[in-house]
Amino acid sequence: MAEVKFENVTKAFGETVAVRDLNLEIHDKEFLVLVGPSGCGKTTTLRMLAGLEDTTQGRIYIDGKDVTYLPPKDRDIAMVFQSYALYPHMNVYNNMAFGLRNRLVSTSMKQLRAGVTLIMWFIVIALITAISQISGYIFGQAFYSMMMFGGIGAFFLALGLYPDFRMALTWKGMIFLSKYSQLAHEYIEIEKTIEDRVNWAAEILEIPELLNRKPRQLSGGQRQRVALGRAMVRQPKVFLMDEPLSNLDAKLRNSMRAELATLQSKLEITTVYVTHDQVEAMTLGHRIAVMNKGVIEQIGTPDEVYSKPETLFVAGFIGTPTMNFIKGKVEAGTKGLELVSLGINLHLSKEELGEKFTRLQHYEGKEVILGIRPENIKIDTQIKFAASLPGTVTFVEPIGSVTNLFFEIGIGQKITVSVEGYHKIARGDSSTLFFPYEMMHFFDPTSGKRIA
Amino acid sequence: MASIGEKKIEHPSLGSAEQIELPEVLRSLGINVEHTSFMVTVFTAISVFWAFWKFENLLWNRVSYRIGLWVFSRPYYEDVEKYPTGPYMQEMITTLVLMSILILAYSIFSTILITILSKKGTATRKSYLALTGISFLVFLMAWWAEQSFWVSPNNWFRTELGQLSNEYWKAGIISLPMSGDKAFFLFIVFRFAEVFALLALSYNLAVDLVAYRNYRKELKEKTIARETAVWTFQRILRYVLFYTVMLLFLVFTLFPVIYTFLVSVSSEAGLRNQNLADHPIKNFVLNYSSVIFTRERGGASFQTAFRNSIFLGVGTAIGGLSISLPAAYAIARFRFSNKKPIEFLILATQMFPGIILLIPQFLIWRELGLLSTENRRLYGTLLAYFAGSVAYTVWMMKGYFETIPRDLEEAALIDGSSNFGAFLRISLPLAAPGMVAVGIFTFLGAWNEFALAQIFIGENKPTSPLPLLFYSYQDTSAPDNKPFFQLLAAYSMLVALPIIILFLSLQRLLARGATAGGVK
Ligand SMILES: Nc1ncnc2c1ncn2[C@@H]1O[C@H](COP(=O)(O)OP(=O)(O)OP(=O)(O)O)[C@@H](O)[C@H]1O
Ligand SMILES: [Mg+2]
Repeated sequence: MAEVKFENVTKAFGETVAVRDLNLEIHDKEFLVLVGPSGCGKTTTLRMLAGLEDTTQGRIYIDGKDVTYLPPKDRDIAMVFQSYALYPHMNVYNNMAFGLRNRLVSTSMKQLRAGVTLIMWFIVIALITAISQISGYIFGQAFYSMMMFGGIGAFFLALGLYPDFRMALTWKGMIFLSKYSQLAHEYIEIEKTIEDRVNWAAEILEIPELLNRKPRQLSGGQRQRVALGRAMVRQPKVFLMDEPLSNLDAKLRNSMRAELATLQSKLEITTVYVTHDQVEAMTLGHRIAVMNKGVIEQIGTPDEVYSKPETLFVAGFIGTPTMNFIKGKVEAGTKGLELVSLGINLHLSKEELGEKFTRLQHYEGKEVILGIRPENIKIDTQIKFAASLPGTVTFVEPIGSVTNLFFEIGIGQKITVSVEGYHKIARGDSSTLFFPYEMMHFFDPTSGKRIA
Repeated sequence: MASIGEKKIEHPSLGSAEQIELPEVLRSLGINVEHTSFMVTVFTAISVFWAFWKFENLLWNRVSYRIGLWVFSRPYYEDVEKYPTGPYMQEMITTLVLMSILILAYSIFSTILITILSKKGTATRKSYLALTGISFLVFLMAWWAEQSFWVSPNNWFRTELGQLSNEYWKAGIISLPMSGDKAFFLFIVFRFAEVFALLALSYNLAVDLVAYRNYRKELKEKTIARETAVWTFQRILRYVLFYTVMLLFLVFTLFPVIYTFLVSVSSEAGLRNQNLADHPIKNFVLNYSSVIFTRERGGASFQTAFRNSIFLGVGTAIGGLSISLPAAYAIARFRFSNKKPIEFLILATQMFPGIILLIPQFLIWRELGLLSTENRRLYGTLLAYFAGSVAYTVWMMKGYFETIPRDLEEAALIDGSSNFGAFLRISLPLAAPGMVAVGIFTFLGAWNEFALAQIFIGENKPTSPLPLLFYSYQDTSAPDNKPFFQLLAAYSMLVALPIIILFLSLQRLLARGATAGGVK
């Protein structure tokens, strides 16, 4: 139940500006994916939202509340780290319960628990002392020292080697005390609630049998689930995830991706997800924010970002194989305009381009960049509403469901074409390429912005 | 479990394809049988011990002996001239040659056995057990013959060879003076040791050779060229070299300890007669109990000294750590002004030899009135130790904190901890192995420290720590205040004992990878 808002946020590490004047609104229950190349400031943005990094400028709001100067613990967020960051000395159960305990167990309860622990330790040490005193009286001084040092040593050794022993001592004390003290009773109740929540998360993530294991006894995928579970049990306002799938193998990544999407829609918690993998971005995000060099280039639904890239960078970043770009000059032709480049003369028809044409008219005599996705280019089959160009195949790359064909058009201009299935064309063959007008994107080469 | 018998034998240093299965007996004893190096180590240790013993036997009777502090300069035979070293060198060389021949014969024999037993290159558990048993018996027989030849007439095995050696002994050609008690003790101990060593040796040889055979067979099948075999040979060579070097190290580290122990179970008369470990059991009880229980040696006793030492050691370790931990954490994690100079200052205190600071420290401590009463002297010493340990502790713990990923603390912060909570609940438990290691080393420093305690406290006081008890084991009635070496040795063993126990029991904690599994 929370919206997140970045307002003119800037973050600089000394000279390097990691995030520049960021403005971003994330809606309630939304799955927002921050995507961009390595080093573009995604993690920094996330860490600022988490409160692990101060902002140099600007404000951050969660649920309408200004959290810019709040410490992480008061922001009610949960984060899945790029490195998972599971607590190595705790088992899975305690890893997941840690945050809940911090939130649910009051200070006075903690104090009571610490007191009980101390008293139990005191009792054990008093017992050791008593026994050694008695043996000292009976057998002489030496036995006193031996029993004393030996006993205390053994006790501390046991504490160090078997943490369960420590827990058991405290729990015995708390259960005994809960008959008389309301606070101890409440503490035990809260521990039960925590247990329920952890079990609930473990059920969903299908890891109930791992609860007693230490992180080092888990596989990568299992660690990832635990990290997710640790965030889930808290039921925070916002989930932050920093490339949680980046270290999994391709198959596991695919299945976890699907699970993440269903999980998020089930839990309905606002999520900010960082990745540099555009497939993850396209499949997971309700909206995608594409970042580059600390600046958000475009925010939109996966469809918008794909079919209507706002900048040259977004156009090049989203989609595999990457979009083809042809730089050329817009010149007046016999019918409408023509894009003239090295050995290329592409006809831009007024009727077919419609609104795009009017915008392009302002660029007459100037340079523009034409972008077109490989999968939108057709070869050989004559289609309507398309400009056509001859090309020669330089390389064929069959990858099962699609075949990537690399063409040379004009003078040394490279064009990639994706065709479905297997294609019989071979290296050296020439063919006609059809560029559908509908699928053309035009960008201003100086500003990188979309023209039409 | 049913398939145990069928599996192929594999050796870590040779690496055949399949997993080896080993007797459950060892596993039930808690010995990590997966790793044969354990056996090799045990074997090496015991055989070194054994070899030493043999040469000792030859040496003791003839030459005076000097090892470290202990100088036994009076030879058993007063007239050394009558027994020149020549023949004895011969004896030693003969022993060496004999041993070599025995081991060689044993190896050849086991190789033949293995070749017969491991048909088709597959040694089953049964065959391997049989092999171990048989090779063990063979070696035992060889060893028996060898023993009967050399060891004294007190040996239980009064074979004909033994009789012969008896004759030699009477004639003064061979002489290994041993009391019946000692012979018995040694017999028991070494019989056990040798049995174990032989088992280990047989096991290793068997595994090695079978693995090698398997490997050869594979080679034949695949008709791979000779290179691979050479490569295998190189691996074996590397393995042999490694353990040879280890063995050499063991000689230097283990021998003084063993020697001290042997002195500690000798009687005074025995030492005077160069007769080490005479009546060992009786002397063990006598010497150790007299060290532990004798009170009032100028106000000091082992027990009071032990308590003082524990006080100083534990005080230094705990006190030093509790001061250093926050400092180390701050240096490792936070940015603050003048960090570099402060770090340097901490290091700088470690650059002087401690002994240089002793006199200034003494003067300051005296001015502060920390040396005015005996108790104050003890606390003053603690303070001095503690001050000396802080720099080391801070530096080590800083290094340790730096190895703990910051992510973990950040995760704790997000999970609702305060900064201090994250330190307490995440960093501190993860630094526990480091803390234990550093704590042990500071404890060790205080436990063994001599010079400062000598000046601040002095010997034979109720507040003297253990190292100063060194003076207590002197025969004050003797003209040269000669120490009672057997007591001194027993005292040394007792001083070392807590440290040994400490290390052994905390080994697991020290070795544990602290943050394993926390991050991907
Ligand atoms: N603590 C820091 N000190 C100095 N510079 C930093 C620090 N953290 C990040 N940076 C810089 O800020 C920029 C953004 O870093 P950030 O970690 O946010 O990248 P990212 O988008 O998460 O990249 P990746 O996909 O590789 O994780 C980088 O240029 C990086 O060098
Ligand atoms: Mg990152």
